[in-house]
Amino acid sequence: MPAETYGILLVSFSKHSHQQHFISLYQAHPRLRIIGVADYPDIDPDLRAYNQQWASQLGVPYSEDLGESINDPAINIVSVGCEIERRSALIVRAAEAGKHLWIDKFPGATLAESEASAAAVERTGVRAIIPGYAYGTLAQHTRQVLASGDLGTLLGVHVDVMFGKGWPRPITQRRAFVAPSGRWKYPDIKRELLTVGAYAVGLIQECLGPIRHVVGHAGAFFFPEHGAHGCDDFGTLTMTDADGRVATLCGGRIGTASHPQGGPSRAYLIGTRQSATVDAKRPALDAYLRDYSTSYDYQPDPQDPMQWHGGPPVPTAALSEDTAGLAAGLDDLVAAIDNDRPPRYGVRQARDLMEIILAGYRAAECNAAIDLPLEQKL
Amino acid sequence: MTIALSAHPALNPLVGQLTAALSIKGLYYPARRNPNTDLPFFTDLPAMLQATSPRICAFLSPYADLHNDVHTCLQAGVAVLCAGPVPKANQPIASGGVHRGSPLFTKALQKRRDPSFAEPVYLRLVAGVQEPGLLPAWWAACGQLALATDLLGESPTQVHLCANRHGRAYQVALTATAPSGASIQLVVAPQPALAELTLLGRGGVISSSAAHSGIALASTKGTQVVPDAATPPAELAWLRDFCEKGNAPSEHSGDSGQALLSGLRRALRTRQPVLVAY
Repeated sequence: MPAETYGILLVSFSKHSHQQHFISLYQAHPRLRIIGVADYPDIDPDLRAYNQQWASQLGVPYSEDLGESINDPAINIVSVGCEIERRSALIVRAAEAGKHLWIDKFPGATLAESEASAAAVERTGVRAIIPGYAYGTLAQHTRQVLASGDLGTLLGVHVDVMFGKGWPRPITQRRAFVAPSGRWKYPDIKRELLTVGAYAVGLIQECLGPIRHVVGHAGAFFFPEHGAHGCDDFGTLTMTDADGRVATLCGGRIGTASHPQGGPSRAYLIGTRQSATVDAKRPALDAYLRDYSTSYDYQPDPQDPMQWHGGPPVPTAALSEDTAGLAAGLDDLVAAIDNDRPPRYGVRQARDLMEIILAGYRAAECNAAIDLPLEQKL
Repeated sequence: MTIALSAHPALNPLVGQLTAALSIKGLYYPARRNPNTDLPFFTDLPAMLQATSPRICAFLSPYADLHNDVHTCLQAGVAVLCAGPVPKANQPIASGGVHRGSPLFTKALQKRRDPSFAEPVYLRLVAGVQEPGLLPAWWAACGQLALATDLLGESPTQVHLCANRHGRAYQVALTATAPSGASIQLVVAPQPALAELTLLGRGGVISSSAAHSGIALASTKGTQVVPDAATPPAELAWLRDFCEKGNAPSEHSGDSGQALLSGLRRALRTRQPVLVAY
């Protein structure tokens, strides 16, 4: 008997999500079929037009009746690409309708929302994956090193993940750093410790036990836009787990043309016997092409100054076609549904990730170590 | 100018490099049993001072009674140079600053001062300790912090320290913000070959990795990177500089180093980040 094909509903192509990048994966997967595009009815006209454009391109219907779309019996999986503030309500709604979930990075804008998402998934028994953290080359290589036993006892892990995008300039106005309090985006910027640092936290979760103490620093800026808002374009966290193991990370947006592969993505695994340096973008091929080195205009598009939707060419190309691990994550979700088991990285881990990052923001704001668990109201 | 050294056996290759270039007359280490060196070796400091009559004694490794041996040298009129701070120091001596003799540090500082680099935003250092134990880990942390201070041209007034250990293998993580707002993350690991530097500025990135800077040896089991022996060790220029100029007593022989050591002990005991002001 042929394996069942699962129908996918794409909910929103909001500009801060990666929904558009998931489409080629869905289309290439033999067990998946895109059924429709949907969104909330009160979205802005630009997003509506963008949703409609994608629906047209995919040849599927577009709806703003989310209830009807989610409850369509042809839908098995909801691909969550709406703004972070609307994700938790959507996840709860979809889970209660018995739909499995593919969630782009964060299951809520607050700890309470993230907890609501995790609880709904656990209560309903649907399968839900956050594909961004545990499936990429960095995580795969790290697991390989840890499984080998070559390190001896793991003492700690130190992770650098940075995006070589945007055009740093002198900081003309520097407001005091403020914690996000549920607001992650402004018209011109995003919180980058959350956006980028989350990948590093996801890797640390793979390596260490439950995190108990967090220190954060986030007052340094690359971009005047972030300085003017007092919001992080870059940040660092230091943490210890229940066994006293130590992790540090940095994450942020560091400016275009500052790295041959668009920004470092690496981990230092410190063991008692050996230490390992793991690079997510290796193995790779170097190609120093004169036209790119001497003639390329690295100035970002004025319509996309932070390069959310693009970036400069990279002279060193990773050999892996799936450094982010999205294809591997999709395979894991399908297998999890088939076999009625949780995926490797689900909503509970993502809720814990949000708790670590929120603790880091609070630590940065008050310049003190913050103990976990946090209270749920954050 | 005759020099005597004090160094842990793990530093034998370094002692060999220094002996080949300088007038080293004797080697001392209090707990050493079977030295693998051509130098006259002593486990008794007064005996070494009497036998070699050095003008300078350079202490390259820390140990519990280091302060007593430093005192003995000074009483004998021997100038003292110490690679790190002296536990329980009761008088100022020249200490620390080894990194200033490193070609890597010199180049990194040149690039950091290039106007194109603009202002620093973040510095990450990952470095290994020379030998197992708490005091070497402390020296390494002090050395990394001194390097960070020199490279950034500013010093944080407080740091968060985390530390853990397994047997005599120690890991230390030090996190701080410089007065300009630049973030600093330093990691000290048990493996001496580990040496990673990433300095981010608004104008670009300065970086170096020992993993990419050594000699690659390929075998049937894979590729192994070994350090090159052609680049002179930082300690050589550091010692030469002291012989020629005589360094001023360093601040790291005093309170700041002691504050880091007590912070380190507290971090190990509590297994959580501790704030150290100095």
